[in-house]
Amino acid sequence: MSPELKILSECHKLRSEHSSFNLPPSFFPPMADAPQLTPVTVARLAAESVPIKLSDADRQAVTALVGGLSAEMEPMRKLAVGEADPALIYHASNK
Amino acid sequence: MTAAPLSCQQIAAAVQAHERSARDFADAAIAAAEKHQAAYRAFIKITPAVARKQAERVDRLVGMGKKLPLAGVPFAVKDLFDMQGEATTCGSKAFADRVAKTDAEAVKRLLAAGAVPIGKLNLHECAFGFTGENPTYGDCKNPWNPERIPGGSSSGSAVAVALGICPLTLGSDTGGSIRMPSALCSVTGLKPTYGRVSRAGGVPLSWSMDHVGPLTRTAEEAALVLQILAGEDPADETTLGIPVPDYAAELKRPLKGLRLGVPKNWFFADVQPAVEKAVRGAIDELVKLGAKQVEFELPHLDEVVGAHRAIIFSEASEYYLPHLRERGDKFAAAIRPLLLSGLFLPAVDYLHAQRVRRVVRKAWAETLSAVDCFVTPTTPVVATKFGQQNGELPKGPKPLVRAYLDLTLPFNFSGHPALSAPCGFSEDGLPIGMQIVGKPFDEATILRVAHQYQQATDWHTRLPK
Repeated sequence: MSPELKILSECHKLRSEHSSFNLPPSFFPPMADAPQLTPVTVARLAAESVPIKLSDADRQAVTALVGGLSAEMEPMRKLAVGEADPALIYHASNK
Repeated sequence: MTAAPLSCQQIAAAVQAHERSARDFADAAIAAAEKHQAAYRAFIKITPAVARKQAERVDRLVGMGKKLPLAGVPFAVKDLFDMQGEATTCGSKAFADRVAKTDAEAVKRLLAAGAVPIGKLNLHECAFGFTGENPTYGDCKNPWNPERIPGGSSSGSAVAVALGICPLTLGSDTGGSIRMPSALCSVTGLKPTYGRVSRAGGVPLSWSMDHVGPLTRTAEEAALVLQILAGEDPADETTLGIPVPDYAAELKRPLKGLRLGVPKNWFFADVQPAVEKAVRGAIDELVKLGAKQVEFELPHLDEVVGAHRAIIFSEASEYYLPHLRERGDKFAAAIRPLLLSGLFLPAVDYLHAQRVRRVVRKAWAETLSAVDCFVTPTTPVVATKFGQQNGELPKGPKPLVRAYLDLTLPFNFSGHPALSAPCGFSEDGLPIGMQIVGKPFDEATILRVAHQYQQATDWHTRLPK
């Protein structure tokens, strides 16, 4: 099994095993061909990057949720935006 | 429920004419709020002392000859808007002791217009959800069937109007949170254009997609309230420089010649039969009233869903990070992962979503140049049961987050004004709403369409048993 497929399988397994997230399944749409974080990566990001303490339950829930979000964001990632600025550009002002 | 509740205009006229006092209306609204609280949990806090103080002030001003457009009108606010001296809980234990020092701008304007605040309304915690379930303050219940969700996150805002407790509530809408509960509870809910109404003094969920708006029984009342809420506020830069038209003046203009868009894609693609029948029936009614139906396709909707996710999760996590660090355990177990997840999304996804926003805005401006406004279902399903995980749709079950929000969130992303108005009921008596979407800052047209529809039909007058 390729490393990518292994990661995907682990995430699927986690979701089905840890239904005690108290998060409804409706937040976890089906996986697609999109980058996926693992619980280990989420734990390391939480500890080394953010930083924030995460309980085991939150770590599992966040991993599954971010996986689902990534799948939903894939069409957005693929949309060509040319040279468009982000819609964050502001007018400089003295106020 | 017996007699039809009085409208904002009727209450203000009665107080202004000294037929009834503001204090009288306040007492009646508070009594109604208390009567329904155990069964429907519309409120987090009912505020009789605040109400009576403002009502007495309004009565004094009216006695001195002052004209107040909302004289004596009882109203309540979603509990993420500040009311001076009261806690702004966001429906969460985490903010139970967060007392507001000043009123939110929208609240200030309603008070200045003579409206009387009777309490803080229940919501889906932190506005990050759409069912109205709240483990801390109790689940809000749908007045048409208490075993069904009222929708959210402005759950109490819709329920209070549906029950006739008060004719006006304030809600917020980041993915559908005014429109969706309005549809499920059979009231009229307006999400104005982004930047039309100040967001100052409201707790944000997503700064670039939060909208503040009224829930009322009718479009005519929504127009009156928008007139008061709309306009510049230096505390919210997005409101600057946009003139406010006379919304009431436009309401009665006939619909003859109005180009009414009906999208061929996405919005009617997978909809419960009763919902499709009701909304298409509403479109037929609008055509009878003189509107001209124009079919079109709105592009990039799959991409918009993903872009909305990138923005809402990133912005919510950024706002809530200090609170999560300080008192994360006080947020409900189902909400905390939602607030945390944005911390793990790459910044480039957020920025790409904001670039997609520019592309979509341009593409939609071109597509929508052929119409004056357009009509869709507000939700493709009627109110689901508590605990239900999927919406039952013709093409198969769909996760609720997709079922409920796919038709509304595009206009939080784009900022277009959108209104939900009652347009029918399912066979088992559950409300159905139609969404009317307008061009940026053209709330006048969508209010006019809804008003003319409501003059020709009576769905909005029905009351729960």
